[in-house]
Amino acid sequence: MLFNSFSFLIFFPVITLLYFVLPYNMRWLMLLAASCFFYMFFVPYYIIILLVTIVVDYFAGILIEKQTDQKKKKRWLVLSIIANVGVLFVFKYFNFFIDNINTVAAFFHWNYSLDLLKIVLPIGLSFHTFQAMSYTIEVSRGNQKAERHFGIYALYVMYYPQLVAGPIERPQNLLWQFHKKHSFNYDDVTGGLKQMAWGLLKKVVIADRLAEFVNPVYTDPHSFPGISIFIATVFFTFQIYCDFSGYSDIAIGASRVMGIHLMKNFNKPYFSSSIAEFWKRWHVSLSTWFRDYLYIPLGGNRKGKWRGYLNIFIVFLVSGFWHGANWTFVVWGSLHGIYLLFGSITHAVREKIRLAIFGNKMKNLGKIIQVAVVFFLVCFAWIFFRAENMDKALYIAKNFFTGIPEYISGIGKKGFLWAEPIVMNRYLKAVWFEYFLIAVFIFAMLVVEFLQKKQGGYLWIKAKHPAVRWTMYFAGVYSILFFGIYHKNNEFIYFQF
Amino acid sequence: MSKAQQLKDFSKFLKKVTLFIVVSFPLLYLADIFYSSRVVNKLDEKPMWILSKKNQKYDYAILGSSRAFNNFSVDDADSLMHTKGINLGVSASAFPQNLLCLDQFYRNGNSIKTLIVQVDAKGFQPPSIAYTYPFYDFCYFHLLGKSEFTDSIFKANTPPTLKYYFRRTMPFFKYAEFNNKYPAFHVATRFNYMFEKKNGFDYGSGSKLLTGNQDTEEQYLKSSKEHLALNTQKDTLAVEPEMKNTLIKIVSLARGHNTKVIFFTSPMLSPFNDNAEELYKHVDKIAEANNVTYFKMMKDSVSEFRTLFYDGGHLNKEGAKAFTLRFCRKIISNK
Repeated sequence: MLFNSFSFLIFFPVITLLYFVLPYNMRWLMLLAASCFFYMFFVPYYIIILLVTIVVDYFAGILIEKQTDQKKKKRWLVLSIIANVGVLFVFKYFNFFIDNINTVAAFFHWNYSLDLLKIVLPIGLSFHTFQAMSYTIEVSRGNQKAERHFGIYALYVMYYPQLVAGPIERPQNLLWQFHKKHSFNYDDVTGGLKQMAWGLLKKVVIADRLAEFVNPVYTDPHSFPGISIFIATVFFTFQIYCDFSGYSDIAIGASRVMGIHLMKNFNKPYFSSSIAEFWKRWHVSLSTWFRDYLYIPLGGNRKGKWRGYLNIFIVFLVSGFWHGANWTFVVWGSLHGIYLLFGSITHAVREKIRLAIFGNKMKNLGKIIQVAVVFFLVCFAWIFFRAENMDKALYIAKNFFTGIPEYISGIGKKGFLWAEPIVMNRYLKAVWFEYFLIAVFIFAMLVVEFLQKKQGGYLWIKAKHPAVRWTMYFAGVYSILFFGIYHKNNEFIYFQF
Repeated sequence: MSKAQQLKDFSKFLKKVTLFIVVSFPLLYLADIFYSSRVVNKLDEKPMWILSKKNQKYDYAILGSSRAFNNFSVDDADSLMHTKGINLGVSASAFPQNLLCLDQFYRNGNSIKTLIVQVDAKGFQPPSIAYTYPFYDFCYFHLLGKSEFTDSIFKANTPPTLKYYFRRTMPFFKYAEFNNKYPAFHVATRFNYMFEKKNGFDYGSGSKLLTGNQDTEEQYLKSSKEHLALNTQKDTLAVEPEMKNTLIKIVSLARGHNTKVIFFTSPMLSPFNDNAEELYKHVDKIAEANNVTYFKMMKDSVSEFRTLFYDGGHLNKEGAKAFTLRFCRKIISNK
């Protein structure tokens, strides 16, 4: 079930109402049943995969806790990790490996070809396997008690708001909340609903509108001039943010309405002044997962500077691969790894240059330039994230740089409109008005998020006069109704992972 | 938190929600009225074009999916037979929508001497499987709640009952759902989009003739192979009883308006027409039982020439002209 679907419009209030009406000891059961229903809306029988990993991890958790011998503890942990990674490998990476083996075999003219599996990737697989793994790891580290209640543990993995695209929760933050008696809390309910509306606005008004521009260009980049490729890439930078952070806002908001607080997943990432800062603000639940369960176990920066750099690179490589079984994701992850390494290695030199040029008086100007550079770097890397294959990615990357000079050089001879910036999808009829809407909504989003940053989350709205507040609420809801895009039932981008 | 506090919180919340609804509903209701006054029957969509026809007399009308809409050239037929015809074919349209269009066409005071219905294997399958968009819901908002519309829409693509109920009762819900078709800016400014005529069909006759050939030789060979492989696995023609009944209803409706009915199956490119005999057998039964003439033209000689096709199921302009000519000859000889 999609958050931006009619089904969810019915599902959410019904489930929330039931949640508050039912006695406390029944709530977990109702939430679990609702989560199963939510998941089975996609491919019903894939719930068996989830069930298998839930059973394995549930018993693994108990057995890990029972063991006093560290070796035996580790054995159960490894078993649990193998079960989770195994499922992930079969459904997500098996075909990728076979495909590459076949390519190599064909290159050397070996008469050798393996069949691909005819399977569809279960929705949100990478998310819930990572969440399940964080449970057994935390139990083995002694940071979390093994959950004895099978239903509550199953709910921890399947909790519908964050089942298919996170935030990837830690057991310490989530499990205890399912045991707690939540009562109707005005601030949580209204705050959650507002966050949901904000997320929905980002998804259906901004992200889905941008998709109408981005999709044709990325599907067939060769048919578009460089300027279209440049614009489509910048648009995708906002699309993916609004899509994913919109999803997270709806997930966090829906959960908050019931009094269950999920971790923050985004913190205005495009205001970052370095790549390192960007990764502290983008998909926080995943980057901290990699930090806690991969980077630190690899040795972090404790084993020397160069080993630390290698560890960073490994984390980004794996992170890229986590997103998808395609070389484009590997390149995307590696690019970020390179950015980060370059940033770390040259940090001292760059600081000296920055001080020399801007000094302390023009600190803000220097910061703005840094934010712009980070935005540009992130934007470029998204090319590899969004492109369907490496050929298209390389073509787009090349034209991303030549697009603007090519366009400017054409203006003298052919006028400003010599290259129609982007061929519009036929469903959106007035191109210039769509550009206007995009500009208005992106600007509004940036202003709102900037104000949130300055004045502490949603508190800044609360502090306003009721008339101003209500005008803003109506403006938001009416924007969703009048300008949202519903005709395609657009999935969230991160559902594919 | 104490129970009293919870109740206090809950009543505070209810008050706010009520206030929001009380303010929202009238505004949305007004927006709904405003939209309706601007857009009903004014969109550049084929069904709305059909609905805009009033008190006209036609010698014949072609009814069906895109294989009627694209494959039959009304202008050519009219100049050959000295008649006045109209093409009521709608892309991806299943029998339920055909029935609704025809019903509305008659209700608007139009008359037809002969109704020529395009019948395909797809027509007998559940519409939501056979067609990507079997029903243009957004063209019939003014009919919401009327039995003839409700019957057709649920036969065609069965939208969730609740969703249909919301469209009917919640102000503006339907326009929000289809706001790609009713963009706020256009509706507000009357930006001519409703009459833009971008759909590329002939706004006189209702036919839409396609240009060139969509598929390369390689694509054609690939899809031919896939088609043959699929057909060897599946021999039987899937028939949804509801669809068969809807076709019979089309015949009855036409008869009720003194219209003669003819069935035809328009050409398909070889080898996509290899299950023609199976379809013929099935349609023959319906045609005989209802005393309808059936022209079996799926394997007509034009189906051997790839140059006359836009894709496997649709003729291009030249193909449509050639087929129309051959069809008219059949009509004349049948007289």
